[in-house]
Amino acid sequence: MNMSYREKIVWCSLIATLFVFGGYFMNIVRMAMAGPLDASHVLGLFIGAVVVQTLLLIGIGIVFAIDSPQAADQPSDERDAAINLRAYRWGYLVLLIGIVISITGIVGLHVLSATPFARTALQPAMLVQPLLFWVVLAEGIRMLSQAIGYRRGA
Amino acid sequence: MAQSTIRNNIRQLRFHHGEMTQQALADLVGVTRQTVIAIEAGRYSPSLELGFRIAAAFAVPLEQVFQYVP
Repeated sequence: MNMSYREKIVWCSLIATLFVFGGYFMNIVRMAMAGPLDASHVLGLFIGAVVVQTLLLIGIGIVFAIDSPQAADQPSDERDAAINLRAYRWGYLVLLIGIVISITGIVGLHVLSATPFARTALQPAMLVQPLLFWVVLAEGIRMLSQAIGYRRGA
Repeated sequence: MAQSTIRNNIRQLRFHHGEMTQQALADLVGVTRQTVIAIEAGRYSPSLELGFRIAAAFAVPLEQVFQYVP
């Protein structure tokens, strides 16, 4: 499949994000099922995921810049801007929906705070996870929209 | 996605300008080759400014490059 420099970067970044944060959330679910979450362990896991993600994105950028130095040097143009604008719109919409769902969920958990599930879910280390999930999902949707934009040509 | 109702003659104009490559046109008008490919294929409608730059690159009026098909 013939892909442009920017399209390759976007697809690889999307796969890296799914891989890194998919692993992160799987670990969180496993830990939450085993018992109360240890905030410092969760923070360590999050920092680890961010560091790995950053290194992967830098690595992807370097590999493709070496592979296509001319394309890497070219500044983005109006079509890139149009594709990015549409991608950010989709990402923002997903983030907005996610925030509304998360806030509704938190309010609901407070109402049901007597139940064991609500007590587990209302731990600070656990409360932040749905918000983080929606941020990552919004970012994934943004990248997917960009990738589709580049694939379709506009 | 619906095909653009703006048609263009960029392929023919490139041919009549010494088989100008897509990259050469892209460099002349300051966009990437992928953008020229997308415009030529009718998948992307350029801004008015870019349209004028493309016409200027071929030294022809804008309507000789792009035509609106209602």
